Amino acid sequence: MIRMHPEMDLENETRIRSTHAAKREEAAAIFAAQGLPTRTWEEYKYCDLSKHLDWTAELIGDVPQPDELKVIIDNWLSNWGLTGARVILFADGKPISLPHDLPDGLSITWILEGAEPSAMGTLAAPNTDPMIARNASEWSGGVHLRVGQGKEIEVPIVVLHVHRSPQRLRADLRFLVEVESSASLTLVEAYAGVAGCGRSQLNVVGETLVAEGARVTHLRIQDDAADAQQVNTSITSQQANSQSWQFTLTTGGALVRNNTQVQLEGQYGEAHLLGLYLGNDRQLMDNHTLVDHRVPNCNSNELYKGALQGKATAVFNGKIYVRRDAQKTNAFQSNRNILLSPGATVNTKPQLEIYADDVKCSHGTSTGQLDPSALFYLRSRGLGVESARKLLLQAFLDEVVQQVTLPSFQDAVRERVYAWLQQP
Amino acid sequence: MEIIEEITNSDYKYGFVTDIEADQAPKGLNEDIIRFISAKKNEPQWLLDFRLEAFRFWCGMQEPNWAHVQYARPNFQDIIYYSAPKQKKQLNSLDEVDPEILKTFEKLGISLEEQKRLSGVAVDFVMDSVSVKTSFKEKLAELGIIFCSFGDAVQEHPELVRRYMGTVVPAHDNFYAALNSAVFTDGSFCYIPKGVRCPMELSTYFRINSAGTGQFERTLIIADEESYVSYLEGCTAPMRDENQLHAAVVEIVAHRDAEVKYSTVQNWYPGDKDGKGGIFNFVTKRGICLGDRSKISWTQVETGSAVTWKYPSVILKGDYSVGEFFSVAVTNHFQQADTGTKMIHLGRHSRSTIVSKGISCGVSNNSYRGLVKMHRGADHARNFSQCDSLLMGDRCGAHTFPYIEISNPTAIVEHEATTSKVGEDQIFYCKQRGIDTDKAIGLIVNGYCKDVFDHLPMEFAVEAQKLLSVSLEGSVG
Amino acid sequence: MLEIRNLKASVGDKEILKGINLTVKPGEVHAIMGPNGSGKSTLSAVLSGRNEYEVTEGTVQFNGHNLLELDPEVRAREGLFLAFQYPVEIPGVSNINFLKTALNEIRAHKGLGPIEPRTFLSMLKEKQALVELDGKLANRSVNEGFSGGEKKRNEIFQMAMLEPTLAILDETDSGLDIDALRIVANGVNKLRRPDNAFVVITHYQRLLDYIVPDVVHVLYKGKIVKTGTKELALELEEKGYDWIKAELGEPLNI
Repeated sequence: MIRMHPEMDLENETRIRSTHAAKREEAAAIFAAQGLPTRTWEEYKYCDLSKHLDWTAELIGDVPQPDELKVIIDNWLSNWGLTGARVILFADGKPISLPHDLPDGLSITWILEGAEPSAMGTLAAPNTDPMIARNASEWSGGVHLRVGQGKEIEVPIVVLHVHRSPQRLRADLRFLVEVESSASLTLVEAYAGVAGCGRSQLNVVGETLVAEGARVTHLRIQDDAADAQQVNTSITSQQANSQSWQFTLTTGGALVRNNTQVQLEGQYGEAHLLGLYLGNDRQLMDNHTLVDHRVPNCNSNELYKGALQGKATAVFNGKIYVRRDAQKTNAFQSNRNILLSPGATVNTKPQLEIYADDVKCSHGTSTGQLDPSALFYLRSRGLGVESARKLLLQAFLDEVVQQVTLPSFQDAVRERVYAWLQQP
Repeated sequence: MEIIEEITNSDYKYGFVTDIEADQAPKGLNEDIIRFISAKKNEPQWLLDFRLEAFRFWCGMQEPNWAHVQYARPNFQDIIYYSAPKQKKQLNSLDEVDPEILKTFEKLGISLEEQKRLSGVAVDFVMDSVSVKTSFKEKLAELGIIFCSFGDAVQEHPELVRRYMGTVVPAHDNFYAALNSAVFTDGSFCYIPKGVRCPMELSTYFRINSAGTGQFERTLIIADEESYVSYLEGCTAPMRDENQLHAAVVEIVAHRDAEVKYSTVQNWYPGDKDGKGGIFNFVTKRGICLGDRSKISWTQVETGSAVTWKYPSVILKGDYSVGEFFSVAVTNHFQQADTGTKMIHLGRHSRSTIVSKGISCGVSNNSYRGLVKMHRGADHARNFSQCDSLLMGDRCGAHTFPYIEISNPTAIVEHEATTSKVGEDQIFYCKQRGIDTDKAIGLIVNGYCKDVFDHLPMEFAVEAQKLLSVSLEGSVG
Repeated sequence: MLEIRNLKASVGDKEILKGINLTVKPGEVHAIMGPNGSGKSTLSAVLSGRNEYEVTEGTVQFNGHNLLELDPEVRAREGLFLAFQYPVEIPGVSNINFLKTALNEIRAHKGLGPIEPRTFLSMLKEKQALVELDGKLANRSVNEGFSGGEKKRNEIFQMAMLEPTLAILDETDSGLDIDALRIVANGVNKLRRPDNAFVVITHYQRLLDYIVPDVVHVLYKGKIVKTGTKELALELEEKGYDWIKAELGEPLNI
């Protein structure tokens, strides 16, 4: 059962223009002054968006028929072991439908021009990144999820972006998640392209507010079509005793840039960031993460792993920031890569910025190949080179997969990884 | 090893000014000043052209701002670019050295006589940009080793200087390297011929002396095939209120099967406890492992300077070449350090190791910034990096910015970094054995830095350990 | 030598020592036994000057000094030695360097100059033999990568080097196998002299088979509830700590 997106009412739009134009114009001015980031920006050193992105395409595409929709949704859910989950659907960059029969305490609404939730924009400030400015000036749709105090939402909620139009498209989209105190939510944010779709270019800004004692699981699946481009900014703010688990799987897209930030703003908060990226051909996958420890006694744990074939490039830039007051912080970060072909590249920059002395922080990164002695061991037991390599690779990547909660989804991720490894 | 004796005062121990009448250029920088310096040093036309070209590059460059440091930008027109101590004639023995300078040696605790007699170290003592004394020259000459001031090398070995100068650090490499290339006054030159193993540590003590004198040293070390040299650079500077700029360039070339070990203990005036004064140390140090199986090793102990911006690097061009970087950087009070290394791997089977120990105290900021780059052709290249930070007190900062760029699937790169503090239980354990807090911290931190000190020549290690204890004094209440 | 009068100490709001009285004379070996949580380790921590314990009442005289007023390092220089239950690792600092620094600090406190390197080395060899410590361990970093037994032996080795007048052994027997226990005890016995004293803190009696005490005290809930001869330790071993509880009229947890 789905609710279709309301048609924009022209009269309404005019009224909104006058009250909200200021915000958009302010952001537009920032973007106009800065432009698309170039490699001279430290944060975009390895991902020159001005070179890669072509923002001339327009928002194009027809609204799919409900039966077509149902097939897309059902197939996707069953592929990812999420059958039964509620789906918020965007097709070709347009907001299409919301689920109903929602569990008690969960509300899902479209973000409409002129009726933006008050929390929108509180975490993503346009002056911190040109892509946020761009989004704040141009956003054309978004969804707002809110979980009431103490409500534990068991069923996963999926924000599914499907690209199916053969034409090129571009869209700036937003989402806002508010999880009130002691509540919990599992959010799946997914990008998928139907065979034959045109190049999609998305600039997504998400904000997640996790109140005291609340728990959020945020699973992101970037399995878009081969030529898709995406800049994805996700900022999570956590209050005391809250927990967040984030997992990002990147397999599709010509260019994927993720700016994933967690702000620990209340004591005894816990943040887990997991990432898996599998690159091929000329794919560029750039994961920028920032864990900002603002208060004492918080823990963060980050593990990103990647494997690259062809001429793919992966970037990992992970920053642990421990502010002066954030004593007794435990922060751990690890990034491991395996290069599978002579043309592949990894640029990694794990950073620690520490201003408090009574902390335990560490990061580690390694890039290399599969352990030759393990490879030899498997071969001596009769495995062929290729199957031995695949086995070891899968074991290497599985360290991340194992930590993904939601058993049926974990199995699906494992299968996706396995399928990727079977490619020539 | 007596590492923690002689801690009497944490104020700058070497704060004195040598009174030598300086022969100075007028303040400021323009092409005329460069011509003046070049003429003063009786340089050939090609060198003047090199300077002028660098100057033109520099004029079009921006002062870098990416480092994790903040300071008042120097006014480059308010600096005296040439200043030479009076030198009447060529010196043959110590007796002929200005007694003022000999006194300076005594205050430093390193008498040249003692150095010569005890350790067999040849000392090329650079004061205010011009070398005043080179010893052991004859003995080195027998082996064909050239160890002299840069100025002398320009006069006596122009072909070597011309062939290698600027090949590792091009004049336009960066803002400060360009400035140095335009205005450098002197420095050291070292050439080790093919197959020669230099029998002694070559040592240069740099000092910054006259008020308002920027220091623009230039060092060029060439190790020909199958040669070996260990080079020591140690620095102390007198106390000053105004900030002084130091922008040196060091170039090292290692040919096939050659090895160069370059060790530095840097203890320039860091400014007082309130952050007033102190040296700005913006140095470009780079070596190239040109030939197969060549090796360049940097070891540094940085305790001084108000602001340090320094990345001794190695370009590993030769197959099976080796690059190493071992560093201890201590910041206290208002000091800021942004230091690290670059290991650029081009050659097959090239290997590099990075060990960095940063210690932050007071309200200082200490950053490790490093680049490990594995180029396409660097088959089976390897790097291992270990960057540890120690924080003492809750008002300082410790930062790690490693850049790792890998474009070869057979390369292996590993990087580990940790941040920690001196354990209360460790201090108590020492106290229970009768050792007071300051000494306990000196002991524990020296232990923490052991991996780096182990790579310093013995005499230097002792000096470095003392320096470390002195700079940490009173850092924990 | 050591005179503890009505010593009370607490951590935060919790009082752990509730009035300890203890007198140790030169040449004596005292054993302090007690169940877990009775305050044994707190007593050693307070005597050595750990600052997480607050002394709320009482006095401690040590060789004519008010011990509680002294900094931990001054207590050590005055001849108080604590063999830690959990010896601390100090990476990169060699045992030899550590001991030489400590020894010279103690000597300086007594108005003596630094020890002659040769004397130091022969002393090192002699004392190593005492606790059958491998010479290689002396060159390793303090306690780093030592096994449990090596750490405890290293404590006794340090004690032998620093020649304290009063040594407190805080559960030195914990985690030791029987051979290591014998080695440690032999070391202690060889160091016994008419002018020094030992306080041996232990949970079990077995250490006292090797280090025979002159006096045995039972510490329970922050107080010394029983004092006797070495036979008291045997009785305790046989009857268990419940016996003490029963004597004190407390209900047994059966």
